[in-house]
Amino acid sequence: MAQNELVDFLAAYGPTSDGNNMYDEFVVAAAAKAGVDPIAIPETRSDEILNDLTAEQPRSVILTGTAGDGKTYTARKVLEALSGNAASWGNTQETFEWVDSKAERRIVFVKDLSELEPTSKGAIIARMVAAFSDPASTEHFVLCVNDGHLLRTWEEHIKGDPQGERILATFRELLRDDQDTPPDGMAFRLINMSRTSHAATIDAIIEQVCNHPGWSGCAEGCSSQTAGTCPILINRDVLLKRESASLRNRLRALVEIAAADERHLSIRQIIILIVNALLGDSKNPYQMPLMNCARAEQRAAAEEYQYTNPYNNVFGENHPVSRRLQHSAFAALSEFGIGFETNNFFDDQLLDVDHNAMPIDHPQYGAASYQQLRANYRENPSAHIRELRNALTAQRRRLFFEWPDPSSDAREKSPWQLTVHSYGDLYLNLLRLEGARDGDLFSLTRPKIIKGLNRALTGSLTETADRLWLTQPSGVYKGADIPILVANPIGWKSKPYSLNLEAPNHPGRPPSLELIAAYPTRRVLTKLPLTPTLFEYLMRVHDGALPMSFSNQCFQDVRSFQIRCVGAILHNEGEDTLDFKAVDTSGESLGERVIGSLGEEV
Amino acid sequence: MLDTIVQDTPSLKSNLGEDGKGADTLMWVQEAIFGHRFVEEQLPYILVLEVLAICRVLQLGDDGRRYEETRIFNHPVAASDEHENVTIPIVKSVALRYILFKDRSLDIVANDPQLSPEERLGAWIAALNKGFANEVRSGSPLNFEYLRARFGNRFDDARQAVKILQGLEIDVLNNRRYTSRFLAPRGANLILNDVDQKFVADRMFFGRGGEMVYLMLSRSSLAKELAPVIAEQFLASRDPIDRIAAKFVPDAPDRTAGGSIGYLPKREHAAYERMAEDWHAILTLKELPPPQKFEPLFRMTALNLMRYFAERAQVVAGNSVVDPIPLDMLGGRDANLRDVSKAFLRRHRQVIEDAVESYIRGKIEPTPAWEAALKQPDNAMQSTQALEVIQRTFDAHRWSSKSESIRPPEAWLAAFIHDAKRRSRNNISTMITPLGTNSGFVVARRGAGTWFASSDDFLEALVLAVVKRPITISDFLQQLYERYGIVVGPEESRRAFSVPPCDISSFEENIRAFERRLTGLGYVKRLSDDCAFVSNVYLGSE
Repeated sequence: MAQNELVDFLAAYGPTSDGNNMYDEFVVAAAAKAGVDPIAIPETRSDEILNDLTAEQPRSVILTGTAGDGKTYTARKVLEALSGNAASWGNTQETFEWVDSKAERRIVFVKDLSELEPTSKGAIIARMVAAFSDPASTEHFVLCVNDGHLLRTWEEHIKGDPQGERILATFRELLRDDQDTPPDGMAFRLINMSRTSHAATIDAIIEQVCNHPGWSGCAEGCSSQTAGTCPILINRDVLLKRESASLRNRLRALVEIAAADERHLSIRQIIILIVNALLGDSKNPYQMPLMNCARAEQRAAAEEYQYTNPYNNVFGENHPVSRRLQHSAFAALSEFGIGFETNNFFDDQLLDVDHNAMPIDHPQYGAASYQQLRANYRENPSAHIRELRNALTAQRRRLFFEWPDPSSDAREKSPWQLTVHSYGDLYLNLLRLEGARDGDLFSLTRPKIIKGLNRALTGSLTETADRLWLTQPSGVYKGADIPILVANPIGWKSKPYSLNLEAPNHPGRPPSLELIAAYPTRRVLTKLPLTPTLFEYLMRVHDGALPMSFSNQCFQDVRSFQIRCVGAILHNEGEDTLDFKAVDTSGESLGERVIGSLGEEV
Repeated sequence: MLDTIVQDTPSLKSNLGEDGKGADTLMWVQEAIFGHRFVEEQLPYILVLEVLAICRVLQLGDDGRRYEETRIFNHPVAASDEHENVTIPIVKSVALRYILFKDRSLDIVANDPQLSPEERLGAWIAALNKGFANEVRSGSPLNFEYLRARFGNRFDDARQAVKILQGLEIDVLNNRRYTSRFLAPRGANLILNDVDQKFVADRMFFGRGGEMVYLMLSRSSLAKELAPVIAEQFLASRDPIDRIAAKFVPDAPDRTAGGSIGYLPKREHAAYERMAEDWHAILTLKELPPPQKFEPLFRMTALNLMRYFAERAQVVAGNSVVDPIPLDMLGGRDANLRDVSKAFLRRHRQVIEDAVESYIRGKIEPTPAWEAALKQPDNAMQSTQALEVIQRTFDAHRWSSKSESIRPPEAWLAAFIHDAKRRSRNNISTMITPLGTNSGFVVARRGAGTWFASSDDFLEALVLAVVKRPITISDFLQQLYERYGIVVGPEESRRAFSVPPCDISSFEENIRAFERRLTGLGYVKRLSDDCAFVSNVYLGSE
């Protein structure tokens, strides 16, 4: 057996209980100690930040985002570029001042606003207020701070200063609207690093980890490598697969959906997921959650691949529950319920009811890993149900990652049926911009959304899927409700009102359903953010679930959208008379019920 | 702790005759402290209906036409200590009420196989005329023949119109007599008054509480801005259903002369301002249609009234602070928090009773007449004299149940205070609980008691009234505390109580539930790990 240094170094990126490796500083030191190159996170922001700082009208830059989004890392890159690698920002220094001798100005780097001493905090914030509000300032800042801290510290220290108040109000607006540039007269930019798509960086991270030059070390006399039994190398091959149905691609899909559901994963958390899938070992979660070379050889020798299963460990199976939940990456993935959502088609495959060979198999992690358990279970179901259940969980997870997308009319065979987001593939498509999305899938999705909305709003099992029948709730306190149509049924191209399904304008945001008015000017009247949960809700209601009982929160979202649409339309119409029509929900399709001649007369 | 004034300010002169003699009350005590008057039977939503009915009738001339200029909240007074002298007529809506809530002939006519379609409207009109003459004692007869012109002899239209309007009845399960049933206010014709069987203004449900709210709004500094907003949202005739209702209103005059508005003692009060701000905030939400505004409106009206009572009582009782409202978000799951909340609801009622006693003693004890009674040597004469002074001072001439016996003055006074606290009508202390339970900030549960707890609808109303731009949850809680004394989380609990009333973890759990529920209602937008905004989704943007 040989010992590859790289494996130990990668383990430093894995989930630890102290969470130290969430910080750039720690990892830089660990890499130097192991004598290998650190994982270089793809970083795209430093150029534009450099532009901001060195432009004719320079301005400060605030980097916000969740821990592990690469704020400090990016700031460090900016400093390196500014100084031509001359200045070095020590790990223990909370601030670093770089003086640009040519331009007679100073750029102050602040690593973490919340780590500063309370006394110096007030002083530095006063300087920032001055710098942010004066375009001619000769002092600029690169400030790394989490957005919650930014608002809180600012609030605590401005103490009624009107300039500071104005900046604080601007922060709030920028963060709320996902904007980065404040109105004129303010000399700063706020970049929210959590609004960067890290889905695209998954590939880069897997490449960095799995194609690291250090892997060549394995060739030097390791018997497991030669025999092809080393679980680490087997897992590495799983991660390197590039088919559309692969761990890497489906994991990316999960990360994207989680982000649209306000569960953004930072770069660092994604690295944790990948490293954990690669090195995870669930035999002794409390002592040794990750494999080193010695342990990998033990597992291979004993053929205990059930512990090293990357499809299972990517969900944090190799950690005790308490530690697992500390990591938002595992918490976010667990929300998908993968492994616990059941589906007849896939369970039939796994239990081999038709006595066919498993179609999507894997030599270590597939049928081989549990056929004995399955046989035991058939012998004596009650004694073996528990162990089989655990094996099935792992198998469902493997199938989720590896099962190919079926044709669009065979939904029961979709791997997304193994998640709570059973229409995840349709949803992913909505996250794409118009040019990049699958047009067929998109045109399949739109009518489903409308039908779901019509069913939720009318409470009937209507089939109408081309137009939204927008009714105004009568608002009778503790009374009956007669819904009255507010406008002619609204379609994707109708006038004066139409609907539009808009792709998210920032990564990590959900797509939205917009109500658009054609006059007086064409504009968006109101919109419904289609979060993954709400989208799934509409799909399930489309399929026949009851709107109120399936999810009251989603129903409230739909109802609030309805009310906002009605309010906006009434506001838009001004004094113009409304049509007076009720909705007839008795037929298969919705119809207008004209109320006698009242409609014409009133 | 919230800043408070301890000194009471002078009250306005009564508009109901000297010392309230114009008002038919058992005594003039809580009336002088809080106003004349608030009754328990007037549910919060009926308070708002009464306000709207006043606004409506003030915009309506004797000839039934609407005034173009805004007459709402426009009541100048000659002197600063003078009460507004407003006469409030009543729109009877006799025909509409009869057709919607009393007539039983509509379906009979509709299902009568003997009648041809052309005959039905005529048959219905005949049945209405006959039924009305038999059942209604309003004095003036009514001929429903006008319906023929309104509906062009199309019976089915008329029937459908009736069904639509009946669908607008508020609180349908509450089986009131037909002259006290109400429609959702979507336009002037849909705003109905509470009247008795003779179609005379009744004080059963429109107990003048709406007059109090009307006066508060009118005296607030926002009155001028609020008046056109109310007119636009509730009195305009663009709502199609309002125009359907108009078809049932005959051309004949339908108004009574009306009476004088009730008495509200203070010219200015912080509670008036808050009430007006909340009305204005809700009514100007661009993306919330008028019918959906009614509910948050009455919930906030009730909360503001309760704060008004608490603040008035605190000043009159001479307490240094107004009691906070520990608002339970956990539905009573945390027994400690529930007990704290329960205790403070009791305190709210207690302070009102203290105020009653302070007011009575403060008013009578310094008077020469009372001192003279105390010095009267003869027991029988002293007893009579003391009773007389009490009756005169508090306009309580009907309070004489025990006048047969001979008692010392202090015993008379104690008996009077006792009765003033325990009055069965017009008693603010017993009104707090129904006011809260019917607006969603108090729950009463058998076996667990009564305490301050928020319903989802009430939470929604707080967001709609208070949030004008996205604010952090802690900002929102701070505003709720500073505006209404509502305590949800540990931060406000520290400000409100010098000694923690229970373990701080209860408030921490409470604030988590608060955030969870707001999120469930769709009013919270979470940014990164620890930054969440409350946003009022109906604000709309221009």
